[in-house]
Amino acid sequence: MRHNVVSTSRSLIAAAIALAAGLLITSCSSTTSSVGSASPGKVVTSDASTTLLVWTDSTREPGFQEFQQTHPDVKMKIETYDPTTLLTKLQLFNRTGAGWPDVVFVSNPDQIANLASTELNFAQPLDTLIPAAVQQGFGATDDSCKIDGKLYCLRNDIGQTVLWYNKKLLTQFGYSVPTTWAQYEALGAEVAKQHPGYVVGDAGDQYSYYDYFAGSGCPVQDVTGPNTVHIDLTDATCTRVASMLDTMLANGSVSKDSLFSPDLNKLGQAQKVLMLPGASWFGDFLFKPASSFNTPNGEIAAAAYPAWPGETTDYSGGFGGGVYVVSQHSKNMKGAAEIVQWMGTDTAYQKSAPTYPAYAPAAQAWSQRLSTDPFYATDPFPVLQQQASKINPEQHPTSFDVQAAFTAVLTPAVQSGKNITSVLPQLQSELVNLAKAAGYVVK
Amino acid sequence: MSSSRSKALVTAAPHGGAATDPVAATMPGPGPGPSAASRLSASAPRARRRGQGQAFGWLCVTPYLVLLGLFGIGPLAYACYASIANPGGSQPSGLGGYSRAFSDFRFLPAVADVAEFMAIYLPMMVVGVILLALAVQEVGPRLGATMRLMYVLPGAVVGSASVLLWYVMLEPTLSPFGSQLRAMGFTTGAEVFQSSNLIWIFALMAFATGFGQWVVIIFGALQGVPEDQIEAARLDGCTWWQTARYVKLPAISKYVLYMVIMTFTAGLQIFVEPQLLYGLENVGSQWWSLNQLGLYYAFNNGDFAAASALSLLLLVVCAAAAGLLIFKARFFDTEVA
Repeated sequence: MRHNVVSTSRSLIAAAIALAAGLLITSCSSTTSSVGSASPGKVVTSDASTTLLVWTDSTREPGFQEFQQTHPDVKMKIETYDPTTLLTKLQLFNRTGAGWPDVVFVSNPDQIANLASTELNFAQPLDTLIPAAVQQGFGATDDSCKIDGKLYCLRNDIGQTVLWYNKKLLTQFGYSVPTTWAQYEALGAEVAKQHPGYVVGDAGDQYSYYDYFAGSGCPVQDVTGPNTVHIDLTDATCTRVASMLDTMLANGSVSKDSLFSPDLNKLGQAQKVLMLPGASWFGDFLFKPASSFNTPNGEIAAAAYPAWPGETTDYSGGFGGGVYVVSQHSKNMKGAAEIVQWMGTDTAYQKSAPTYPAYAPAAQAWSQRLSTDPFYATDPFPVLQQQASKINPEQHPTSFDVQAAFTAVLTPAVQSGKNITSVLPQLQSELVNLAKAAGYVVK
Repeated sequence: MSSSRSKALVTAAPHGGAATDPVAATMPGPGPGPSAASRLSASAPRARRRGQGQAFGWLCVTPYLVLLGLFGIGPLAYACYASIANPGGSQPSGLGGYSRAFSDFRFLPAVADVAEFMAIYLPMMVVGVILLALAVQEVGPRLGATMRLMYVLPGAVVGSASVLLWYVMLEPTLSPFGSQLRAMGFTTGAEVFQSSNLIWIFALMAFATGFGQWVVIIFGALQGVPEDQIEAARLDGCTWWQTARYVKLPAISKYVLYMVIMTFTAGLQIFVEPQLLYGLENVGSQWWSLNQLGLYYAFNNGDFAAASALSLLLLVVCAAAAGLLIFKARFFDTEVA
């Protein structure tokens, strides 16, 4: 027993020394992960005899099934999948060399940079697979699918931010809809004084990036070249948002609660959410449902996003939506592209979609949903259409997790009542570290 | 957390004052083994029975060894290989995986997170389990059995179910204990689920799911303390607490050390609770604990080498702890009284 203990501890020590030596040797080596650079894709295939595997969520599944019924020449197998496991599964498929789906509906559009990277090598560029006329129909909405100038996905729907407001309450209180952020801040001060308890915005979670910072043009995901990103939270476009939010959080006109928290839900149910800058789907999914704010009919309307001084365009942020991706490993990329093109552009299907379609003609057909909906005080579609082409182009897809950085730094600061301005340096370093760890060069 | 459970199943509680440790009985080899059987008869039948005993011992252990090979040694060997060769990854092979794993800016914060969690969880578990086991012994057999059952039940809710249950319990607007939470000063869910409270929340979750089985084991160990020693202590005028501290605890010290080390290794590998709570409540991160960071390396960065390196680090720490248990504390030695 004694002998065993001695020899075991000797070998443990030897292993520890070897490990330390290895670490010393490799500490000088430069190691870069290449999650940031975009994959060139593979040669286009068109073997019509293969069965295409389609991964979808439950909302899009009926659409894929409709395509399957109306296009019997395209062989497909439709499966629902757990979106949180997408990257994991693709990594595993890369290692086993088989099993990739041919078409995927990706519900988290931030993942496209990962899917198109040379690390994962999954998304196939669609520039040659989708006709130019169709690409034009998407217009600027597909910019969030473009990496290094190539189109890696087709947008299904977009979450362009607009200024949602309760028209009935606003007129009742005698306020007018703000057209600039200065007016918005002033409105917040008025509401805090005259109607405490009512809120005109929400900054209690990481989604404040999409609702406030992205529209302002704050460089967080500003990809300036292959593998290069510009992150600068000292820029005026960021500090103006931070100081505005600080003032409004302090006087209580902007809520500290998370958008989907039970606490904001209670406030919404009491109809105390006077105004909310947010995505195009807020109307149908936050204000309307009975389990959510349950706002009565005829009260909610949308206005153009407020503008910052010195900007010619009142840019929105892009908050959510889904994208269709075709796999590089598909044996029938042409068939797969046909599926995603139909899903993204078919007017009859997109007309009944729950959220704003990215394809302009489909969105036009979709507008009937809103114009005939008694929920809205005025038809919000013209505003949504206007802002659809105004998602700030500085918001590029990146493979580092922006939401994680905001969750780690901004949300705790807001929750504990600290100034956002004071934590901007910490947020900057968190974002820079994440970008570098993902293989970007940060300028 | 499941690793501590599987180890617990291997060690059954000793009954009465049996000299042989039943764990040793499951280990193959000459010398120890079913010494009770070997004591019973004369030399030749004894040798035959020892041979039969050995064969039976191997039969019992073989399924475990097969599973250990497939799901323990096999992946370990692959991890050693993957940490150097980086199969299928785009990063260069070599020892770069180790430097990438340990020089990542999230590595040291994850170590700090896990260390803080252990600093709360370990004492909570050890002290809580010992006190509860002593209480169970005090209340007598029937009530004690009921209590032991009650303590084991929370352990049935593990992993994601446990996280969801605790989320509801701690969210003031949803919880049945909402009034108590508000009395403590928590009015919103965000106040409860703050990143500074995470170590307490995870410690509570881990304690709730784990303490029941350890109470059963420590209770069994307490039952093994010779009655005459406790009688003697009582005759000497010891209070309940003095008896526990000077007679019972020293007698079960090996089991307490066993619990400490098993709890340590399980806590070091915490994964489910922070991962799910991040998805539910957007608090913490996907790299709060070391195991989460390893998963992130593998499936977000595609860096299996770094992930293997991190896993091997955790293994080395846990193996050192186990080595301490086996060789320093001589836990698996049989006492031939």
